[in-house]
Amino acid sequence: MSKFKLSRYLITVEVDENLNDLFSKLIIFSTRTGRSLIVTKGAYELLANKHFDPIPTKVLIRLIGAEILVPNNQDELQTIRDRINKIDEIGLLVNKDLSTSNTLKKNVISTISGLLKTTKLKRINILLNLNKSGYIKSSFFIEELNKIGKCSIDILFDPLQSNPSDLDLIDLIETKQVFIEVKKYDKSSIASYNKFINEIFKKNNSLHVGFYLKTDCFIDVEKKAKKLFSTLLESNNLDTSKLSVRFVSHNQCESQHIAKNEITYMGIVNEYNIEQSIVANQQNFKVIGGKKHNYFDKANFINYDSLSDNYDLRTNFNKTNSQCLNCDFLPLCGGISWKEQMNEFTCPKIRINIKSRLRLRYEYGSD
Amino acid sequence: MSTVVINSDFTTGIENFLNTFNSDSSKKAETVEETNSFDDLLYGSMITRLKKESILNFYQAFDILQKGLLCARNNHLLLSNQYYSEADRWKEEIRDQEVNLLVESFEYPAKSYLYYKLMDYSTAESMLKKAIEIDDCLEDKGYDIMHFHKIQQLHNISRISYAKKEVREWENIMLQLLKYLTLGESPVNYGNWNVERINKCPSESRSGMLFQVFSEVLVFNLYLVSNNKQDINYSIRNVCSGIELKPKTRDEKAIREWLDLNSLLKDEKEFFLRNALIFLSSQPNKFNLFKAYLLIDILKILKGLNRELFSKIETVVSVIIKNRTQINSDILGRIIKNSCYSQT
Repeated sequence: MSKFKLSRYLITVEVDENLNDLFSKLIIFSTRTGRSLIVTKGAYELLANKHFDPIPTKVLIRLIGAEILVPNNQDELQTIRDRINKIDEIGLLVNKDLSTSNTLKKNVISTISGLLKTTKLKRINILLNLNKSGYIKSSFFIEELNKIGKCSIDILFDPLQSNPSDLDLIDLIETKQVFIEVKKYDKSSIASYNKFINEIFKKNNSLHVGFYLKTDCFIDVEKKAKKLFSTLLESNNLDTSKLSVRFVSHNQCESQHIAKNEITYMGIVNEYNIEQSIVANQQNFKVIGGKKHNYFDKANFINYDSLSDNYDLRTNFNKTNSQCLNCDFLPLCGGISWKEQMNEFTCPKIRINIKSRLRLRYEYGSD
Repeated sequence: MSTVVINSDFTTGIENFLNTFNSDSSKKAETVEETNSFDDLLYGSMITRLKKESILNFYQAFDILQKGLLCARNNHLLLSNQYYSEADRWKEEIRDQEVNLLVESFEYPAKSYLYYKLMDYSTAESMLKKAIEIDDCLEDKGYDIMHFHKIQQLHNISRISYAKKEVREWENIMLQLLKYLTLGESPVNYGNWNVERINKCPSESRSGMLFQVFSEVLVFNLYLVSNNKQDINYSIRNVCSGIELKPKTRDEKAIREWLDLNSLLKDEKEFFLRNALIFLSSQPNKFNLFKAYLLIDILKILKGLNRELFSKIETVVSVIIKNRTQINSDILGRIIKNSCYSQT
């Protein structure tokens, strides 16, 4: 039985903070796989001391599957490093105003095609912020990307600025999802979102709508979230299985306050039975209506600004500093590669609010 | 050709079906709880034969192989190979020969899939044959359920034949598989076959495999049609002829009904329409592909159908086929059009 040990990349959280006996429940979350299991505190102590005999075989098998238990002789850091080095797909946010200069547009295209030619990347999942470039420029951009191939494209619309006719862009891409950005919560803005969502379903009833929520400036979060979803759901009679939520943040806003607000928002989203990824990768990049979340599928969602034509995941990972190398979150966030790309030097929010996220998931049985 | 009378019950019935059609074949409500899954049965065999530590050693390897397989399915071939290297390292730790055999039984098919993705079909095929040999050994040791694992490998070999564009060989293996599963006639190639092994396992195992093989015939057949290789009913006729199925499960009953419906197509069109409607309305979403074929047959029979209903049926057929294949819209439109105007 000594062939296994508890992984070093674990987050544990008590389901009920007030209970503190061997039978109280503990959530064990592996940042290697993004999977979690619930065991009793007593069982966890047995695992930690490598006393596996009293634990049922089926439970141990599940712990192995979630990589909560790992081979005794495994160098975990090296294993993570080896796996990250083999990632051949990235997500890319194109947040540029392509309408200002033809050179810029050409640069974006040539950088993407260059990446596919010169690196081991096999696929780039692009999220195009329409409002930065407008319909005409975007359609040209999409056509050029389609010529390159190996790119999947999703579009982020801002209903406060877009026309329903902009939705025709969807015809140029193979997608099952449309993202809409939610920035304001006043009555007229919510009415605009409402109208735009109606137009989306009128165009194609099988599409999913992903809410792209900026969490930087949440004030009065509970009231805002409730207002948004109750209005949208009541007036449209929407099927909530067609909706999902993705939390994003920009700039240097990773604070305790934002992380706490995000949890409040997530709780409300759960109350409305809308799909969201409670435990997600660094960018909360969620595939709507798709498979279970897999970090390695959608890792390294980066901003075009910091993308260069010699981009290489291996180089970035190897640059990871010692602080990150000792961090339990390394398998989830990838260390400095993420920070540098985003030009941020703080840890992702999930590191701050993971315990609350896990409790939420336990409470709602979701994810 | 005799005139087919469309009564209003049929029109109302088909409209109801089309209006309530749901393309999602993964709806939870319709999922039958699998109490006798392959994994459960394998675990059941292991627990009676192996020590706890050996079982854990197996699952450590099995889990990494499964992760590698999943990566290969999603075209992350480098990462897939990385997982297989991890599995190789772990295998060196395993001293128990039986556990090693069990691991290899899953290792060869997993690695074979990676070679398949890399289009090295000959290595992929030889690995599957190796897996079949190992399954033979494991069956002899008492792992009856591995018989289905072996059938799965023969199925995988058929996929390689298809990828190599050896369509008749693919058809031949599919026919052998179906005849083995329904009539007990042993396949001629690779491995030891004994239908008693099938009978020792729960009916759900056979049923699941039959469903899988049938569904794949329907999918690959569409690809052949889309490449102008053959008429839509060609493979179906070839593969399904001579199949005698005595259903034991709900899924097998549905497959049987579907086969019976196909035999009605030639001379008993009105009876076909009535019963096809019952199949469409009563079978769960997992049979959507079977339904698409019936809908194409309905279109074929009812050429004088009103335009609106015709296009509604066309849309549902397209949605189903698009969900299961990578056939693009233009080709799909051509398939439906050509199929509707070909000889019934």
